[in-house]
Amino acid sequence: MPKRAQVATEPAGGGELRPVFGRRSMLLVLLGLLIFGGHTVFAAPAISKEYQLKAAFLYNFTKFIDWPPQRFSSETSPIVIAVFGKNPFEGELEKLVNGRLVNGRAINVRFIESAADIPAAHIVFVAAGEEARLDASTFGEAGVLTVGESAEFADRGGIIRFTLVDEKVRFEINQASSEKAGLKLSGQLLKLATVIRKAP
Amino acid sequence: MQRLQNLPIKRKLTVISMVTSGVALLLTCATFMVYEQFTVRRHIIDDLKTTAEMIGFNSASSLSFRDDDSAVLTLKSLATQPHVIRGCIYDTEGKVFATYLRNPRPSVTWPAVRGTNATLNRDSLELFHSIQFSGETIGTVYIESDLGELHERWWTYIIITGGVLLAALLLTWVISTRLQRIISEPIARLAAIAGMVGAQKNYALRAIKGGDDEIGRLIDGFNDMLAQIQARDAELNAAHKDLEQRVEARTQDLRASEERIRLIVDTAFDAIVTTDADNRIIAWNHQAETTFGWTQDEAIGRDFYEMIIAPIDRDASRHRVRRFLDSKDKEALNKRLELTALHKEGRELPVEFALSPVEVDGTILFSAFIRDITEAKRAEAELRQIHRQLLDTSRQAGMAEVATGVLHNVGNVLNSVNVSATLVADQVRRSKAPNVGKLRDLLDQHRDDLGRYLTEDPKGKIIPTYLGTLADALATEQKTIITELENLHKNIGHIKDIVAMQQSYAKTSGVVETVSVPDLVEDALRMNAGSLARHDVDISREYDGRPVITVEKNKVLQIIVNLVRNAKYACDESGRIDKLITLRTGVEESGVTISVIDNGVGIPPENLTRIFAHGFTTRKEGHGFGLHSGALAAKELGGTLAVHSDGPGKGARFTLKLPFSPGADQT
Repeated sequence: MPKRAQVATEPAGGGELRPVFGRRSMLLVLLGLLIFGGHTVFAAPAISKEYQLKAAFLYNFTKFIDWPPQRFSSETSPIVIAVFGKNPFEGELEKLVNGRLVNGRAINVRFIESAADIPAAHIVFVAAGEEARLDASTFGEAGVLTVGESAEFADRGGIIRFTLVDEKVRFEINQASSEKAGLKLSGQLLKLATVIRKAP
Repeated sequence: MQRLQNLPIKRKLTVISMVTSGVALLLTCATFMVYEQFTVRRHIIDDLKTTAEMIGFNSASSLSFRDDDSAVLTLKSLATQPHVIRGCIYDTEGKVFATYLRNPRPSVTWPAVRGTNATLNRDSLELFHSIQFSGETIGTVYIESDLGELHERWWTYIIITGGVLLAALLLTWVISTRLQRIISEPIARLAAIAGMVGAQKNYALRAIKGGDDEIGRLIDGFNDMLAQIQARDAELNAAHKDLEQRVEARTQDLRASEERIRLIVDTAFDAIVTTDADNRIIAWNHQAETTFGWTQDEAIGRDFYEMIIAPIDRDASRHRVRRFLDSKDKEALNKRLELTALHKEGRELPVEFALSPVEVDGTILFSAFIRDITEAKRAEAELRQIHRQLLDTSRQAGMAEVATGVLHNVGNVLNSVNVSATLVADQVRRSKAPNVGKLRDLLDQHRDDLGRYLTEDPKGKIIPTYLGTLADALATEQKTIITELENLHKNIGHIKDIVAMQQSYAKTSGVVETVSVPDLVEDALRMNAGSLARHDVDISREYDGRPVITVEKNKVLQIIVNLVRNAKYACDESGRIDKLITLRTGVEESGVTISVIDNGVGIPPENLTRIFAHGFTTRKEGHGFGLHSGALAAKELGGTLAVHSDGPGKGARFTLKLPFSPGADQT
């Protein structure tokens, strides 16, 4: 798994290597760079700040949501985040979740084109414009958190919709939809969201 | 500590109890407070940690979804904790995400993120707490609290501790004041009894015993002691009475003895004066009053030497006392001296003075014994006068004796002269000279046929032979006559000498001449020659060279003549036949010695010392002047005259020592 080194350096912030790690750590890092190819470390994010945040939010949602237990075959089976259709994150999402565990579960990212693949995922991200390709039944799928971007997505019964408030990424939650999907959303999540109850 | 010692036991016991429990309580309280300080600190940190944890949890979503408004709301909950000054949340990158300030200020700097840790500063407590969420560190909470709580709790503890301490001490005091009586009361009772015994001197009192503890034993001991003192007191009283009687008896004895001594001192013929070490008179007997004219009252306290001793002897006398005091050498004083003393009327009087130191109780006193020797001195002066007269007489007598001796000697020599003259006369009378005449007549008769007569005539033939015999006889005659004539001449010369000597003795008195010692001795012998021959005394001469001395010759002669004469008498008296007088001269460093040694009667030791004294003699017709004047003369000449004898019958040796010249050896 050569990409671990990438993850380790990421939170230090966009390629800034500060000497706080001490000499030995720095040597190790430099060694890692030599072996695993430093060019990726210094590569500027290819996508916008907005989608970086959205990718992080998608990942973070996993921490605040309880899926029905039957959605997992075991205690350690991974949480699957699916990107339906267009992928606005480019490689960012995979990069973000790589190697991370949430409550003991790894996170898998899949890119799906068919609605038929939706039930196998735990979170489905639908980029703006892609919601048109889904029918109503898909939104009501039990045990799947649907995350979208457009008003239409919300109207059609999507559970979480990203919004921009004062250029900050925020989200609204359709509690009715989430209840219908059998998901338990943490109060902490709810307190940050604009909560709506609207049945489609 | 001194003050504590003077406190009554009952206070002491209370103080001890109080101090003991106070110290114990203080220690306990101090321990608790130290412990509490740690506990309180830990509690405060724990509390703060809990708060941080809560805030961390509550801000998990805010951090996750970058909702700082929500995080600020969460932090606002810190307002419920009055001691929290400020707080903030850092994101994973260490950037400040949301803040809280109790008292908002425009610019605030936040410390760099540290891992979970609590730091207690001087006036604040800082806490970092990393926020764990779903197994991830998603940020850090920072809270800074003032120490108000710590101080509040601290003060609470101090107040509680103080209260407990005070209450405990109060209780201790109440209990100890009651309990101390168990110990203090018996002791106080004992002390009161002891005080009574001391004040009343009543040893019949007894303390009442309370228990059988140490105090009980102390009381027993005290009572025993009282009993012993009582007994001892009785004994002491008896002993005291006995002692008083004895002292009284001794005092009387002493008084009697003192009276006796006083009488002795007072009736003594000597003046007895006692002085202290500073020469102040402290005792003055009756005779002292008589001798010096001062009464006892006038004398006591005055300086002894100032008052009594004439200025001429004063300093020396004082010096002797000083020397004794400095050296403790009794020899400095132990002498009988003749001093000049002073009478009250100012006249001087000769005294015999003896001073003896007496040590009484470590103080040195001096007893002076003073005898007025005015009378003795007068007697002595008279004696000296008589002596002088006697000496003159003696000298005249001596001169007479010398004259007698001279005449005698001259007579003796004249005797020899007479004998020689007679002998010569006889010789001449019986001379063969006339035979020469007869022979001439015979030859005259035969003038014509002289040749034939001498050769043929029987008578004429013996003439030549006869002539030879006659010549021999005449020669012998002549020789005898010459000898006698020589003797005669010598004797006449001797007489001339004696006369000349006598003349020189008379004439040259006081004239100093340089003479040879053997000549001097020979002269002396010659002056005695007659009597020596008469008494059949052998003379032996042992001269050591011919030393020359410058001296008044006649004085030396006089001494030697005297010595020879004495030797002759000594030999005579011994009755022995081998009478021998040896004359020996010797040379010493500073002069010469002339010894006259006899083998006569000798001198008993007791006489050796007074043999030179004036008037001493062992001879019936002697006047005791010879040796005395001899010794005086030797002294006048700057020499000495000494005697030695091994005892009666062992002979004697008189040695005259003379310097080479007068003044050569004046010592």
